[in-house]
Amino acid sequence: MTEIAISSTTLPVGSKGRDASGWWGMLALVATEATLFAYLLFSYFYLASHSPPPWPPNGAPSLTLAIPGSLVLIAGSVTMWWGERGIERGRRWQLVAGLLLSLLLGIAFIVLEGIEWAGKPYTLSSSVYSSLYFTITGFHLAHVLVGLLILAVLLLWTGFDYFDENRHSAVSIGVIYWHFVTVVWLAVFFTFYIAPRLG
Amino acid sequence: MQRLTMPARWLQLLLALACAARTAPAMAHGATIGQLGWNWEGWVLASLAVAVFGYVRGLLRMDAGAREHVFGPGRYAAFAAGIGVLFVALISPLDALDDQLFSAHMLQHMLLILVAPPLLVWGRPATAWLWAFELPARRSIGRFWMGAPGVQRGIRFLMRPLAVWVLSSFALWFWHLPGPYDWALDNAWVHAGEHLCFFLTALAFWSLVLAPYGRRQLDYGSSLLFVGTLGMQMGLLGAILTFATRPVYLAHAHTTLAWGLSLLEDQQLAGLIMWVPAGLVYTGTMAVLFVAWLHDAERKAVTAMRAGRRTRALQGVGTLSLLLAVLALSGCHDKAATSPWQISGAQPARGPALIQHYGCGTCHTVPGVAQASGTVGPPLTQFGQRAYIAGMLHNNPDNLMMWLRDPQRVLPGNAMPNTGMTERDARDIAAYLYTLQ
Ligand code: HEC
Repeated sequence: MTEIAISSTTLPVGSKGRDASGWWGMLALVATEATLFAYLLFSYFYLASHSPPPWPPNGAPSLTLAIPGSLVLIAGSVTMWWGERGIERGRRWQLVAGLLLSLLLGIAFIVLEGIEWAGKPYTLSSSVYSSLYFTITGFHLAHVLVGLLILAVLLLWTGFDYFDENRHSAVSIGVIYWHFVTVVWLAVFFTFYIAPRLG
Repeated sequence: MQRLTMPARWLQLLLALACAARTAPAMAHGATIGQLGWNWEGWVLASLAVAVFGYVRGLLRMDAGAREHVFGPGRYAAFAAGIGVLFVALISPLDALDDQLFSAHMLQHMLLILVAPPLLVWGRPATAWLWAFELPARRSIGRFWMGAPGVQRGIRFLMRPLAVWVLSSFALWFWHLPGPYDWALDNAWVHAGEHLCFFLTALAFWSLVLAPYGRRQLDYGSSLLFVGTLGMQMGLLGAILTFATRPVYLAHAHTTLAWGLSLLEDQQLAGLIMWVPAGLVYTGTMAVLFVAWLHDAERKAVTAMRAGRRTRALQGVGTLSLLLAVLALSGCHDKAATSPWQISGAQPARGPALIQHYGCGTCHTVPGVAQASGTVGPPLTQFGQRAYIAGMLHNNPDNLMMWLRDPQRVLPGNAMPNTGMTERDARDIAAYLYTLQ
């Protein structure tokens, strides 16, 4: 009879550091999604250059909700970065706090965006501009929702005590996606809210 | 028709520019164009002069050995060419033309982003400028640098690939929006600021991509992505300008017609300049990086093998088989193996006797060696023209001697045995094998 000796009662979950296929998978996903947004934003500028002025037809969109929205999303990235740093040092509470804060900030962003959508006088099919607006911000919103799902799962796993200072590749992988969503928003924000004010 | 002849005419005009400086206001299509003079702007000229002076002085101060080591002729030439391009972009009549034609302005930007910076960076100016100072001054610069961790950290932060990428992208898009573009044309200082933005971000970009000092901060794969994604942005911007159906940059509204271009045509030409020639620079850079990457992977695999790290070496074999396929397809393999190798101190004449002594002939057919007609291993005929040893190592003297002395370490488990060959014998056998052309 062979006896298998295991020094600890539980086996560790997940790979060490970033040595995980999920890491490369996430980078590939980010690459494809970034390409998607690059072409969406390209179509915005392309169609803008084909439309008779004024562009946007109703003037540049208001910043009252967009600026708070951007700040909320950036703050969500910062809290997540802080949470990841926590688990790298073995502080599980810091990861939990970071995940919770980022989740709340993400939800706040969706609420702000929802209010902005509701206040628009046009719909998806009213004009070229309105189609672009809802398609691009909608795609981004979908990515935020996926991000929230990822954060929720990470929160659950943290609750199950899956992560420690050595093994937290899932956290690092999820965080990359979350930062990506923020960066994409900055590009969307620049395109829709800043660019029309510059010309 | 107008559209077809437009670029040709535009190029003709550009060629005539050098003369335009001297002639009276040129006439085209009956409209007067403002005189295109040389722009002897004091501070531009002074910056260029100081840069050249510092570079030359630094080189002269170094002793010849160090100079040869740090700078080859290629480096001086690159620096000189870079300064020349800056001169064309900022001082020649091209600079004056950019107020009149959007396309000329974009050409100028491409020179400032894609041509001058890589040349300058390759010339290693920072080292030369440092040497332009006397030793005590160099020491105090060093002390200042060491004593200012804040400055070091700031520069290191700004030189991080992500920071460079974000700043370069932002500069590109921001300054090509119609608002900031017009603003730059209205105000000379803003215009200088725009050019400085492009030029500085480009210097950082090319330092990361070319790694002129050999230490790569950004590995090859990431460099490819870095160059590719920025090139893509430039291409998209060019495409937007090329396909636009209305003129977006109205600042040139009164001047393009004098050059035989409508406002829209001028804009399309500008878009094409950003799209095609600029795209070629990015693509060419990526091709160079890719080849360098292959060479690097191969070198690493061989070093690992020499160090006897078998597992690493075998991982390398995977990369190498990929390399082989790519190299074979692209035909970019250096022709090293076809030239007879000089192995210093070797006596190829001892070869046949040694080969007989070690019994290589039982397995190999070796021309010029009696009874060497084995068919277990590959025939060693025309070995001097073989590209790869055992289908794996570049055929060069070092690798061949390594293979002869220890084939089992290079390719564990293959049929060729270790024969306990001395280094001298390996040298002589290798030299003999290279005579087989
Ligand atoms: C037991 C048979 C055997 C003996 C003895 C032997 N070799 Fe080999 N040799 C091989 C085999 C098999 C290969 C092919 C290995 C491979 O590609 O994996 C090879 C490969 C080579 C190669 C690379 C050829 C190529 O085209 O890639 C050289 C060079 C070579 N041998 C030289 C020698 C010399 C010199 C001797 C005598 C010291 C020798 N071999 C003795 C079996 C032998």
